[in-house]
Amino acid sequence: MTALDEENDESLVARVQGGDHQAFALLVRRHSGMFYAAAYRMLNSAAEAEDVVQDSFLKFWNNPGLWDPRRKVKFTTWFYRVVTNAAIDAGRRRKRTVSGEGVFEILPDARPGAEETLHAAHVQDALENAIQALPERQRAALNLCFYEGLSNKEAAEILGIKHKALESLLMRAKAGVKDHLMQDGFLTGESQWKKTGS
Amino acid sequence: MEENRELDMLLSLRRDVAVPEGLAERIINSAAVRRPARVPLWQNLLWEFQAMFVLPRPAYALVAAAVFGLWIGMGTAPLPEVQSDWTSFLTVDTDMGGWL
Repeated sequence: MTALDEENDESLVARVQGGDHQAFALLVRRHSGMFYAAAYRMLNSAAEAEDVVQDSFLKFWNNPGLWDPRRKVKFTTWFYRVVTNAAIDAGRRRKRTVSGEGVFEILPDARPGAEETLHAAHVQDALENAIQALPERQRAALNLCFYEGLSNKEAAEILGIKHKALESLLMRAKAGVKDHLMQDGFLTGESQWKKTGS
Repeated sequence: MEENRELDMLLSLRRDVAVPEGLAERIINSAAVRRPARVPLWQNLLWEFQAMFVLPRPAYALVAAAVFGLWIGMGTAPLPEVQSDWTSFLTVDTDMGGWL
């Protein structure tokens, strides 16, 4: 544990702006996992998510002045925006071919019983497909608020929209997922999650 | 309300993401060979100096050194032949003053 470890993100960024590679390394170790998860949830591809996170960090290293402390935005909030935009761009560049590509790249559900595990896997696949089928802005809103655990205010800041617009995106995202799951038979019209496999 | 709760419960079943091993180190190493845009002059000069000694492909450097070594070796005079006639060592020309 060094003195550098105790510094907050913003002071580490200030060091990076002076060319401090150690400070950069510390920022990467602190946050690369969480930004990778965010990119992965947007792209559902390990290779693309890794590229997005790596490119984003390298862009920041090459030009650390991109983060401006005078804007009073947390480094992580700003970097979520960078990663989310990069993931959206990467998603636009390629057309999805196989859904649920990352079967071997994600942690399996650890429920006891083969049948239950299989059913859980079906549900997870259907859920992933439903989320990936959402328009990119809705998917980003859902990921940031629901899976990254950010507040609506932060998510709105990241997406560069008003609070109300974010709420609208979230509502439409949830409705989209619900419709998709109903079509797949995992939800009934009364929104009951089917306990048995399809 | 009930609908939302059930949907939230379903959403929470999404798989966790496994972060690839060594991701952070790969990013850090990639950054190490690049340089940030705004750094002090002395750091830039140091990097310029260090860059003069960087071997991008050490294997190529080894092969080039081996070829160069062979070329130099072939260009020099052959090694002196091993003495095959040892008689001059065994006879003493006494006319010239003998051993002493």
